[in-house]
Formats: sequence, C-alpha cells, structure tokens
Amino acid sequence: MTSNNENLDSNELIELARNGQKQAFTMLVKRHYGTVMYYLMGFGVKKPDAEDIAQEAFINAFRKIDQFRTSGSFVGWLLRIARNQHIDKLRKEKKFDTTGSELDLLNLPDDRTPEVQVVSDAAVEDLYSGLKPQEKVLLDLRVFQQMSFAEIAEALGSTEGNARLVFHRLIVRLRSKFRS
Amino acid sequence: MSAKDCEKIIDQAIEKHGADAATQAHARTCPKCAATLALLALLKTSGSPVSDLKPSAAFLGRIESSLATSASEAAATGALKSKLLAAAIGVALTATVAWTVVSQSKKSDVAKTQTQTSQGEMRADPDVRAGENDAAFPQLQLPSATDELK
Ligand SMILES: [Zn+2]
Repeated sequence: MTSNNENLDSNELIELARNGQKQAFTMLVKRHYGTVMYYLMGFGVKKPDAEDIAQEAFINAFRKIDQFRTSGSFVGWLLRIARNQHIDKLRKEKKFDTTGSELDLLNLPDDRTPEVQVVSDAAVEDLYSGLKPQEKVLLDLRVFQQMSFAEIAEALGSTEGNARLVFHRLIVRLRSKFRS
Repeated sequence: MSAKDCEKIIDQAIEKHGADAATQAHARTCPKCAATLALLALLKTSGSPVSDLKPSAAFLGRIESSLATSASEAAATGALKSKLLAAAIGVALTATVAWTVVSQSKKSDVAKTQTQTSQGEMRADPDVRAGENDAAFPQLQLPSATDELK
C-alpha cells in the first residue's frame, strides 16, 4: 500500500486521504514535513517546538481535509494552518505580537538553530549551505512546488512583490556561488 | 535585455516546467540566463533544500495514532449526523403528509362552499376566494392520501 502511494501525485493522495486512507495522508506528511519545519523555523521557532507545532498542523489538516480545494496549492494551505497553529501557541503563551506574525523575507535575522547550522556548515560545497530557513522554503515553493509568487506570498504572509524580489536575489546569489 | 527581462525568462522557465524555444534562444545569447537555467537544472537533480529534514519514526507514529482518533471521531460524528438527519426527515415527512391531508379536506370544503354560493356572494366574502389557500401555503407535490385510495 505504502509503496503504491509513493508514486501518486499530491492530488491523488489528498483524494485517498479524504476517503479516510491514513497511509495516503502519512505520505503527504513525509513529503511536506521539511517545508513545514523550515517554514516554522523561519519564524525563529526552535526545532523541537517546530516539531510540536508541525504535528498539530498536520493533524488539523487531516481533520479539515474536506475543506481543501484541489484547485489551490496543498502545501500553501498546509503552511497557513501551520502559521495559525504557531500564532495560537504564541497567544496561549501570551507572546503574540501582530508585528511578528508575518514572515519578513527581507529582514529576518539568521534564526538557524545551532543544529541546523552544523548541518549546513558541514556541507560547505553544497549550494544550499548557508541558506536561511525561509530562503529554503522560498526555493522549495517556487522551484519544486512550482507555486506562483501570489500563492507564495499568501502562504508566507508576505507580498507578491517581496516574494519575487527575494527569490530573484536568492537566485543571483546561488548563481554566483554556482559559477565560482 | 534588462535584468527584469531575464527574471521574466527565468520565471517562464520555472512555470513552464522547463525552457521553451524562445527562452532557449535568449539563453544562448545571455550568459546570465544560461547560468541560471543550468543552476535550476542542477537544483532539480539535487532535490529540494528542505528535503534534508525528514520526519522521525516517532513523529510519524504520533501523527498516525492521532489520525486514528480523528477518523473514529469523524465516523461517530457522521453516524450521529445521519441518525439526526433520518429523525428530521421522518418528522418533516409526517408533517407534510398531515398537512396535505388537512389542506385537501379544506380544499374540498371550499369547493363545496363555492358550488353552493353565487358569484355575487363570493365577491362579498373576501375570506373565501378560489386559489388563495394554494398561494398562501406552497405545498410539496406529494400524492395526497385520497389519490392513493383511488
Ligand atoms: Zn537573460
């Protein structure tokens, strides 16, 4: 069953998950775990806390899967759930500040956890090393999930122009690294 | 071409799942775009930068056990909903049948009155007018109890 699910595209997995097939949803979790984790870490959330929030977000997504419209981006929908889950957690801890609820792609400090930093620094030659979590998410959403800048902006709580600008700056940086 | 035009070319290459003929033609004359397209091809083969984080077996186990709970909760809610729906349909059906019987007997009373009274008398009595009952109380087109008896 699981091996069959591996070859299915996201919409097919979503359809199976809607019909209650838990393995199909688990496959979606495996596919999007990294995006959700880096997305939360982009807010400065430490990895263990990000994992707790991600867990709640995935469970919530399964409960609400009937509300997802397949015309939209599943990962974008998932990130919005993760973001709301993160905000709820901050509210409960009375740390919520509306100015910090959006992922500022341009001005975020390097919030990498020491663990992630070690992983990145170990692979110096890797093009991805040294990328901030939010830059990894941006690259994933644009190049690998092929989301439009409008969808990315909606998912990241940014503007379309900001998402486009940051993405192309990132491409320029990676290109010069690639050339050298 | 300006940097903005090169960005558009790259956007197209990403959105169209690869470079089309026009993009390839531009890339042949533009070293920047050529390098970017080669970079994108390399990224595609290397995989997403977020794929280095994989869920642990413990994480997946926690998710799966929560999904089992969610699914049984949903099934219980579904069963309760269908029971409530069946009860609601039963009540509505009983009410409709009762109403049809009552309105049919009213109609036959009105018809009897109409045949017994003259046109002049009808105009003088605004409470008894043909068709008024139908307009005030729209009814479902269900067979009436008397139809079934025929
Ligand atoms: Zn160019």
